[in-house]
Amino acid sequence: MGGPTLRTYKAGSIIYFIEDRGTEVYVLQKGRIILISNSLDNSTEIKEDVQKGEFFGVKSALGMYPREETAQVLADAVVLVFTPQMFEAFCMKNTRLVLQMLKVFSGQLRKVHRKVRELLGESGQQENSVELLRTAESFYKSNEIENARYAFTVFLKHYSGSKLASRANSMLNLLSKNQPYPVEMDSIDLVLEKIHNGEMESGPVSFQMPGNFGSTPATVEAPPLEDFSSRGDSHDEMGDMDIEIPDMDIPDMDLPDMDMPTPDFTSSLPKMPPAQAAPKPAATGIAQLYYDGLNEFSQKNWDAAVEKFESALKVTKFENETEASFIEKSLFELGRTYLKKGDKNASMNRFSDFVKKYPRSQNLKKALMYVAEIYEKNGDKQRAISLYNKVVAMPPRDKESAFAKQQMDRLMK
Amino acid sequence: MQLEGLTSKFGKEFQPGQIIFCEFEPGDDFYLIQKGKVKISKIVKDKEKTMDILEAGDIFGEMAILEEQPRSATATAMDNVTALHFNRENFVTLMSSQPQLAFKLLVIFTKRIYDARRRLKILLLDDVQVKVCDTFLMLSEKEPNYKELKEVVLRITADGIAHWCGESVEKVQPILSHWAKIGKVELYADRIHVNNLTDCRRLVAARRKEKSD
Repeated sequence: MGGPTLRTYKAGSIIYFIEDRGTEVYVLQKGRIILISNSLDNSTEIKEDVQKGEFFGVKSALGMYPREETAQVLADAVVLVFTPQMFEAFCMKNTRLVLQMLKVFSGQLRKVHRKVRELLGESGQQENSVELLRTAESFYKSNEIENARYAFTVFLKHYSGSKLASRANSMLNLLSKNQPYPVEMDSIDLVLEKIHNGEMESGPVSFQMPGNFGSTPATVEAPPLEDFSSRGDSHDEMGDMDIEIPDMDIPDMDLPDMDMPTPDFTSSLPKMPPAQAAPKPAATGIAQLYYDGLNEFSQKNWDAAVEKFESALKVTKFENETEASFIEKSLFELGRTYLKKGDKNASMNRFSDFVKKYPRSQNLKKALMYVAEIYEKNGDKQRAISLYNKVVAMPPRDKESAFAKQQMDRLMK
Repeated sequence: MQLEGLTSKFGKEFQPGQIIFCEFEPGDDFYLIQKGKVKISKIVKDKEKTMDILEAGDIFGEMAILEEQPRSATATAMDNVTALHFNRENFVTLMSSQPQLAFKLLVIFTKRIYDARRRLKILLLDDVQVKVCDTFLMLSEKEPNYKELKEVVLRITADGIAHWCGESVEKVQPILSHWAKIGKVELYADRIHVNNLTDCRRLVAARRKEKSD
């Protein structure tokens, strides 16, 4: 294979026209050549001089697409002409030249991409963080568990401060427990809309519960731990704590509900196969009463919520174990509702009852902390401290332990 | 530096099924496959769509080196994959020692620039119908006999067309449906038959000229 050939052109001649197809690459040696192109919107003609020693026609030759400009000779010119093979061989020996061209091309590419993005503006994709989460959830939905795990973890790594972080965290948590994708959960778009409309503060996961439970529990009402957090620990910090944990082997006891709207949702979810997770709106029975109660709670209808939970507690016949588990949940919620209502004694009674009846409950630590909170409200600091102390000592070491420790330290100051 | 040296320095191994990076993940490194196959896929409407399958010698993730944009697709190892792994820092070292690779990248970039500019041309049109026509043209330009082409079968759906136009599918679908009714196009689940490319060319050219006048 020979080297490039020299070719001469008379002033006024055209080396190639725009839209021509050609594979030759040129270098100007002598004379004057201009490149005439159209702006992308076709509104203006752009003329630029080729510098001596400069390559032209490279992109269309390498990419094998039509010429994007017309090369016109203004003064008699001498050019070096490369066939694609010659040009490649030349590049192999001149890596620096290739690097230079790469630099120029990457600059051009970046510019075009920027323009594309500008033009797409709002009609383009949403924020990357949202799209990443969407991707993760798509993997989860299609049961690509390892991909989903990867994507959720990447999301939490890069966007731990995102409003959707707790959602990602909960998803990762469910996934780690081999749970199917929670189909009853609000879609990302719905959650974003709610955040946008100010219905959600920062990041609580919004579970769309079956039946008439449409208004999304604690997106309206503060999640339980916000009660504690208002005393010195911000909810955001709690959120951050969630994010530290996205390890793959989250113990079952972990992360019950600190960032969850409804405290028992995670614990109830695993037991519900997807089919059951979406009972018909007409369904009655303990599950419905419980969810109705949560619904009322979310709307701050304390009395109505109390009534629902109390009714749930009166149910004695259960179809299965899942149904029976709603007794425990309802009792816990009842304690919370009374506390919200301001009936400290009733709340205390319910939580004490709960602690006695369900010493192995996932919500045990929380129940104890609510009791501690009531003690504190009643001015009994010592008892509050000793309860927090008890929580701190309880295995496993989790967020509740950390929180109880904080509260204890605060009270002991 | 020889390739072996590069492998020990920049080599990375992936197990079958292992994800290398995922769509929308931030990242600033790219890969040259030395062994194995890598699947490039995107999630479209909750379904994973394979865009490409790459083999030894192929490069992927190279956009990250210039763009501070997240990954535009997911890369998954299909078998045991060994890949050289580069980033902004070691880029020059690699390119200087691997001129073929540098040249390959140059070619990839020229194609990317062309595609991006072509896309920009569509986006700059101000009428959705014309945008759709220009998208038809852009997609047919890849056919070798494009200039003589009167009709064409495009492996694309309304969603894809909407994507290229930068418009919502709700806007694009009625246009396509209307054209289907009057016989301009035929719509199928996985493809669109464009029956009169000449019309499209005329319409787009007229609109572009109009703008420049």
